[in-house]
Amino acid sequence: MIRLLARKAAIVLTTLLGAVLLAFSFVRLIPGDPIEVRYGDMDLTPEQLDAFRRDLGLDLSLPQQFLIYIQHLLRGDFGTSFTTNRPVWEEFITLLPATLELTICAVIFASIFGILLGITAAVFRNSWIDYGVMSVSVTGASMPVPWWGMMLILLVSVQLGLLPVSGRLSAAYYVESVTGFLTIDALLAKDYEAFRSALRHLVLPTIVLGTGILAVIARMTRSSMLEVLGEDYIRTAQSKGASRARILLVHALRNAMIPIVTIMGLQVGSLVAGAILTETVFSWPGIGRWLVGSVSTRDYPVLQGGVLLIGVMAMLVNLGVDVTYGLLDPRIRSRR
Amino acid sequence: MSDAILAVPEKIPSRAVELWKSFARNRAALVSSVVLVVLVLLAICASVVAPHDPIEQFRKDILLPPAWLEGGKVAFPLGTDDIGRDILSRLLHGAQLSILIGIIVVTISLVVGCALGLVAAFFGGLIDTAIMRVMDILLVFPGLVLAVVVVAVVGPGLFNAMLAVAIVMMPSFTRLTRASALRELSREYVSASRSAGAGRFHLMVRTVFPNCVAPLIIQATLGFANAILDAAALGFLGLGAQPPTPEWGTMLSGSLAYLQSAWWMVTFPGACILVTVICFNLVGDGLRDALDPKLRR
Repeated sequence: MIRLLARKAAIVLTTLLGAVLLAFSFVRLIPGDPIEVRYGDMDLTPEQLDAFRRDLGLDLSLPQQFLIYIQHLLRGDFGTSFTTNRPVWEEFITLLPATLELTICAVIFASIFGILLGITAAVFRNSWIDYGVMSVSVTGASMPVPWWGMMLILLVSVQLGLLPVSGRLSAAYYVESVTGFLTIDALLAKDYEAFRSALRHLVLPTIVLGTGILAVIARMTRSSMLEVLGEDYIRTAQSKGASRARILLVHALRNAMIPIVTIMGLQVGSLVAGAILTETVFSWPGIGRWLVGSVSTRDYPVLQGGVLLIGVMAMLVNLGVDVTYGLLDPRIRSRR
Repeated sequence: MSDAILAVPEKIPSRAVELWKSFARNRAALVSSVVLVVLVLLAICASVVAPHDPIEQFRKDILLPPAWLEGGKVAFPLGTDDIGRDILSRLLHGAQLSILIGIIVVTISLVVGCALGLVAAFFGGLIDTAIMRVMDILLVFPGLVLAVVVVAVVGPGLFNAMLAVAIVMMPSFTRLTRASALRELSREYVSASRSAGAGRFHLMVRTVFPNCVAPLIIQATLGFANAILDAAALGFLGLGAQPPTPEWGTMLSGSLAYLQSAWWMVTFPGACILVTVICFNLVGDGLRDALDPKLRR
């Protein structure tokens, strides 16, 4: 297990260095001078602009700039936003909980319903239930996220008036930020009305973000359950008189979980993509909206730092999935 | 359908007929391919079929509902948008764009991805490591984030969005080609061809590559679906096709403000995206079942 972790760490480190290089170079590929963009409308003399360039180290050679960039990164300095003048890291860490709260809810929603639907489809194989689940799965995987969000708003919020249209909390409430997770913070403050409001705001974005992964999980659960249900040890369990529920949930699901966990790891990318779109539709104040906003305001430090941080986060999640994978299946640990 | 084919047993069916038979057995895939053929025909004939010009503004007929609703006009079957453009005409021309996006994105990523994959498999060593490491790094970044970055570098616009999506999709083709090429390289027919004096390029393109095509066809079909979805997502974020281009995703982004007053502006473009993407996915699944019997359950 330790050797597996060490190998993984080596791969992660080289990939990380590549990611840093990529984040460093793409900002320098953007046509136009970042200094002009930032101070262009302030009517400064060329000497003053040069002074700013020197401050940011933009007058040095590229390799020198890269070394300085890495030094800054190691100190936790991801640059300063052009638009707000706040450190990029600080903005990232204040917005991250909103995205995490949404993403975690979406993953829980997708796992519970995806696995349930997948098991149901496998048990009733080739019946109309199976076809129904598979149709839902194909539709979910093909769903354009922004449209799904707008359709739900139209139906649930506008037509039926059941849930709020956008944001994380009604303006009527204020919750002291402790963890940044509004639901948890509201509970900590014992403000149950605010908790209810935060939950109500979470429902639609969770469904919208979770649908895509739900579809993939349902499909994967179905096929790996079908595979596992044909195995000898299932028949052994049946002949020993184990109940149907026990066979399905204990014997079969445990072994079917390995491909399911893998597929969840592979979905991290689509989860981040979905979060960007979901946050835009629901005006959810998270890192996805922040990143897209930085493109239109040409806030290069935010773009550079944000992309790098999101990449690193995705990498860490994948590493976590790999480790879980090893824990679930002891054979994988020794095989390599 | 299948009875007609089964009724001629005297000839041994060719590989193409076999493939078609097993593809046609999948009813969903068959129906989807019919829908796609209709869509492509509509897209090709868009300027003939569409009742109006997609960017012509009918200032007197702003935000008209679809024709079957009260206040709708027959001249605008699916209603008009906030500056009086005919939605049906925009959707038809949007189909043209979406098909074009799919073709261009898949072609770029397929050609470049396959070439890199073949080179990595054949040359091995440092070249292999370098190519695959770059692909790994590209894969670290979630697809849409990478696409947003590419658009930030090259500027928003339809072509740049296509380029961005193509770069995002490339690593999957490279990995797939490399893996199948490595598998084929260990086969005897390759050694035979090599000892018969075939050059490296000939081995790469004429001997090995044709045997790697099946998984690539499947991936390319599914790639169409992803290309259309991703380009629409960029369009929605305002980073793809710019107004007044009638791209489906861009149409969605313009409709967000009219969500409460004009549902038809939102509903139809999204439904078009959904149906097209579902069809490509189902055809991809059908092809997988037909081309790759090992994966069939």
